Amino acid sequence: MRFSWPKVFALVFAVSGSAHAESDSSVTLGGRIYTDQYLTAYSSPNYSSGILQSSLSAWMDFRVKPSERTSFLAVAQFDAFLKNLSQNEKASFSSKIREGVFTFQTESTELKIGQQIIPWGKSDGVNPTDYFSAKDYTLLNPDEEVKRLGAPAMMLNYTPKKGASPVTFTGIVQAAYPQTKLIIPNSAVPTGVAFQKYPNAPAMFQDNTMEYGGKIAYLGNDLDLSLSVFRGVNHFAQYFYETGTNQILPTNVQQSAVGGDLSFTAGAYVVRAESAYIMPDQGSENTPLYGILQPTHWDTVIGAERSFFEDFRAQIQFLYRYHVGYIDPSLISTPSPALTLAQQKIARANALLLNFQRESNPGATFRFGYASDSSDWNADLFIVGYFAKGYDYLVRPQVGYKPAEGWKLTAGADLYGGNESRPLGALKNNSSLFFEGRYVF
Amino acid sequence: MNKNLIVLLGTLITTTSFAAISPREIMVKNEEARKVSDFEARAKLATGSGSNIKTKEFTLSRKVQKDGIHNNTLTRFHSPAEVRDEGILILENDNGKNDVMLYLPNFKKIRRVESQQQSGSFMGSVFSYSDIATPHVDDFQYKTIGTEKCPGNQKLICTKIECTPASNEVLERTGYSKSIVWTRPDNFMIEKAEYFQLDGKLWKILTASEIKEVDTKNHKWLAHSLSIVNQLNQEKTDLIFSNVKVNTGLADSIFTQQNLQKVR
Repeated sequence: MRFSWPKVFALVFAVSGSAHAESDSSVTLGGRIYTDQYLTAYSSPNYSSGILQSSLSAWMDFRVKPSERTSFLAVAQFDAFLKNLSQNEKASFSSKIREGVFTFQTESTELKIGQQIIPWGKSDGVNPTDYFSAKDYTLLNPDEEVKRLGAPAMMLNYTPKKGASPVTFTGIVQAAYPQTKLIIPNSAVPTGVAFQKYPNAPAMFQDNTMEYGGKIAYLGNDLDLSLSVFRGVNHFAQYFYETGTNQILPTNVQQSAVGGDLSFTAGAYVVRAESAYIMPDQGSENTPLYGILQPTHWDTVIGAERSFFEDFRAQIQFLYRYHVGYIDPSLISTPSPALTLAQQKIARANALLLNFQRESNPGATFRFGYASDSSDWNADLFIVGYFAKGYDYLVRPQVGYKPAEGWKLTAGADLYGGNESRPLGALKNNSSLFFEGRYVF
Repeated sequence: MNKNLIVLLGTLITTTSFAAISPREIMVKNEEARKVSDFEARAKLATGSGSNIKTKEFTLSRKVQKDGIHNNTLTRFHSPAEVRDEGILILENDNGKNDVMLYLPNFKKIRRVESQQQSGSFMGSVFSYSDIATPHVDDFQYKTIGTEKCPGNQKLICTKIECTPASNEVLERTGYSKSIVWTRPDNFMIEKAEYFQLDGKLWKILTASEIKEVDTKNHKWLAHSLSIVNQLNQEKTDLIFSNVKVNTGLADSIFTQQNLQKVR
């Protein structure tokens, strides 16, 4: 019998349904409906209509708890686009099971099976240890979490002392990696050659598509600390030239990683740090695509956050990435001058997309926010930038208002800038003014 | 002897015996009177006035730690939809500082709440995070400042006790320069409290009602209805407990970060 996730869910429903009648069960329905309108901030020949995205979306949450030990959560997502980035401004409709996960738990263990989003890492926005989830950056939304993509996976958590220990062991097997979808600036698109923009969806349960990871976490009163290992795939696609077909194709490279994170409070501050050492299979010398794809690198985020006057918060994070064995694309050489030129161009495009244009890449994020449960207004300013040998940045101010319970209106801007040969500067034409109306029920 | 005289004599006897003990001893008895091994209740938090009242519903679970003094508290929100599944874990420490952790289901992550922020609003209410945690005898110094008819029962004479933070940690956590509490003579429960800002201005007034004996064997009490008013803007929050269950043997594993991020 062929394996099929829908069949697994159907089986889970059947099991849940049979238990339902005998125990203290509950069923919860909920969801959200939201519309997003993204307009270009600057006039751009790429978006003649002036609209980057016009969409109406709905999430339907269904949760059933057949017994004290079991539960099932399904979140279905429906998106109707009048225009969006990934469909070349065509109207389209899509639907998917965002999450569909069955949970079984005892005092000390928790087993989750199904389509799930597993976000790792304690930093804000930039997470070197976020090995298992992905994001669709072509789906524009003020809430970064909406962009997050899950995958079919099995996760087992074990906490000794009947769940009362501060130490937890986690093991994860993902049936296929989720694919991060980037906005690809025109400057990265090659001309005069067949080019596939986005990779095909990976097949499940293949040696080169499955992912494995483990984490040991100490979650204490005053300190959280974790160490993690990962073997899987880089969810960001990179490009390579296939000489036989004369095509530039995307690929998701297998990689291994070790990392960790921590957070603690120090007086008025919450301190967070996260770091990972990531070793792509093609990231070292003597591998065929060395120099063209992202090399082995060490990624670190250290930051602190504090509140002011109760309702205001400020946060700063320092980002640092160091590429081990980095080579400048201009140093790539092959026996053929034409091929050398092509390979150098592809290496530059990959470096632009994955932000590895330099051996050492320092950056920072800054967030200043106002949020109060007792007020109907909130505001947030987020800035991320990289600043060695030229700079590039994204500035995202937004203001939210809750006119009634469940409703929220948000207006803001995504403003990319800086050197246009850098990852964020290259997206200047994607700068936008946005509005979102959302109802949660 | 008529009925009024019996009440008067009773009150006098109670007041006399109550006055003989120190304010600290009264507060020790107060802590004893409200201390149960564990309790779990459904809670409704209503903030605002008139037609503009915002209500949040949650389950509150609390268990005394192994030291027999400090508590661990977990709140899990059920409604409105915007806060569904959010959870707050409060772990009290003996150094005067509490650890507060907030679970945000949208991010599937836990965020620590720094101590300075713990005097801030608890889920948009007039209560603060530190109000939701429990006060302890050693956290404060006490002074009796008089007696008064109890606000909720005029036949009883309450003792008014001024409580000042015993350490900077408690001052930072609570955000109160002092508080004045009205303690009942019969069960030592607090019927009213006034909380003062760091500059000495009156900030909040709390009134407790529906004080019921929840453990009749060990004489433990719980105020099922709490009302707090911010005197600076007259905003009011009512916190009402229902389905109260005590000493049911809640597991220690409920009060962990691991459990905080388990949404069922």
